Amino acid sequence: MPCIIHDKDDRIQIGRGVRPVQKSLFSHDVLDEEKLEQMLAPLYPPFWRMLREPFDDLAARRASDRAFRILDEGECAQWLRPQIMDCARREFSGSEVLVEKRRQQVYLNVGGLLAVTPKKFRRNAKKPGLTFSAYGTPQNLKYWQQQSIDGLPMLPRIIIGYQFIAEMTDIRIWIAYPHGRTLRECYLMPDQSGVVVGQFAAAAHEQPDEDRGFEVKPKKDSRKLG
Amino acid sequence: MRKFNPDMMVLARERKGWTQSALGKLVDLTQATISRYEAGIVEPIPEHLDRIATKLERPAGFFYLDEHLYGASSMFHRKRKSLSVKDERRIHAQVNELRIRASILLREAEIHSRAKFHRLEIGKDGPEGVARQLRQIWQLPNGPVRSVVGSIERAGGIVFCCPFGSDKIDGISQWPLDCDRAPPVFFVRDDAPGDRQRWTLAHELGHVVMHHMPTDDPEKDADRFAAEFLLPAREIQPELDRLSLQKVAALKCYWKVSMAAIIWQAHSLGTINEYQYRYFMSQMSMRGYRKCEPAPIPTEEPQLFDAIMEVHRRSHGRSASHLADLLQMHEHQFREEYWRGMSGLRIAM
Repeated sequence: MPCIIHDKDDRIQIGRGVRPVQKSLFSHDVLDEEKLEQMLAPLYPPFWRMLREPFDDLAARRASDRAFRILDEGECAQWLRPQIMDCARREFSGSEVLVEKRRQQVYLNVGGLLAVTPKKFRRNAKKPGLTFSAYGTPQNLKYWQQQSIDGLPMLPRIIIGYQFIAEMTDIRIWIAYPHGRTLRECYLMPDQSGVVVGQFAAAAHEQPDEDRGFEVKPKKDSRKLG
Repeated sequence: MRKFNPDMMVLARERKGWTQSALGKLVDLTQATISRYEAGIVEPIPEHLDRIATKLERPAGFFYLDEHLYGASSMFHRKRKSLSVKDERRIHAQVNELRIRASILLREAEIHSRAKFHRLEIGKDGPEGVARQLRQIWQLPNGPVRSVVGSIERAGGIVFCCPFGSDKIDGISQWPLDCDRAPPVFFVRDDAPGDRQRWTLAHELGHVVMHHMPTDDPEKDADRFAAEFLLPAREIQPELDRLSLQKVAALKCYWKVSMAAIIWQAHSLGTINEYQYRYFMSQMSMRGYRKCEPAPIPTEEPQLFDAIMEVHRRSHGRSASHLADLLQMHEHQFREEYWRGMSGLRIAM
């Protein structure tokens, strides 16, 4: 099965996918890009905002507050996680997307059809493509291998992932269908903002200083020119 | 009685980037004739002057302006050595022309600025000491300089963002010793990124403030001044430990200087050693940051020249055609360059 992979320069390539899954272990069909897009496209704008807004907030803080500048990638992700979930609650309030926490797994239940988890992606050091971190507990392993777990609804588990780029001054947003820590399907979410809103937007739109520190006045004692 | 000013003919020709013979061919005159006119040996006959004025796209009155040109010796540059002599002359003509326009407008307008420019001596603390002194005199608060253009204008300096037509030059400054009353003028390449423009202006500021007397290495002095002015050692040093490119990018957003400048400052302050410095720079090259850094910094817009023009427009009630006459420009040229609703004025030469 072909899937999208990324070479070291982050160019998208179509490469050979992971091996086919053992069907008997799965309670649902493997979701390909087309199916994912069909199910998730209407939710792209709130998903986009759910990741973009907390990131923009983080970027603005890093640009102004020393306490945030010392955070590395992992620490930034830790800070972002509750912000993203909070943003998700606000974005999906009153909709059929519910933020659920069961058996220590936090995910967005999309109408009883999908379980969507926001995660940070990073480049896979061992092979082309992206990967993500997860503690290797038996439950986690089962969760990301799309296997059933007692007490959790058996829904296809999808990741809305963000990848830090440009030295953490920007992010890319991905949609992925994982199998273990390998992403069986992974594609870039189309830009939902129209314009890229980053921390620099704030600086660019700084209000001009009313007091410019100078004043230009006509000279009173000068001969009239021209 | 008006007197022909050969300097203005040189300026207009060099502004076009033409040689004397090229101009001569266009106006059916010999190079020797043009040379005599430009040297002030003879005054051009009216018929010749008309032809010259037409080709150089100037009103005849331009050649009678009572102004003089400052050559390379009274200007400071931030440029590459590979900048051709022809381009350098064209750019000098461009900045001389802008300075002349400002000086004409300032005959009937005056700048009341909160701070002043000073010529300071390089003492035992070197250019860094001068930068600290200037920050103190201008009462700049701790932390990043919010706007370098704003700081210069608050001290009465005039900044122009100009299309130099070459990326081999970043900035020029002028504060001739013989006209202390005139404000210093700064010219910065308009298509440079914001962080580069800020560094260029701080570098030129260093020249203007320090280099009224010759020094051994003025360019290095100006860079040291710029580093301390934009990234004061006492404040940035604690932030430079455990440096990574990600941290450098975050520092760039805060201090509004390039990542390369932060790494350079970290090296000069000894927080990274030579090996680490080379490693950072090679990483910057590998990732393409030497050509295009992440986290672009917005450019700063000068306002003082617009304000001077505004005084002429509002207080003196001058129309576009009056102002064009005053500056000895054709009206359509003046409108193209300056008369865009008189807001967000930008030099478009």
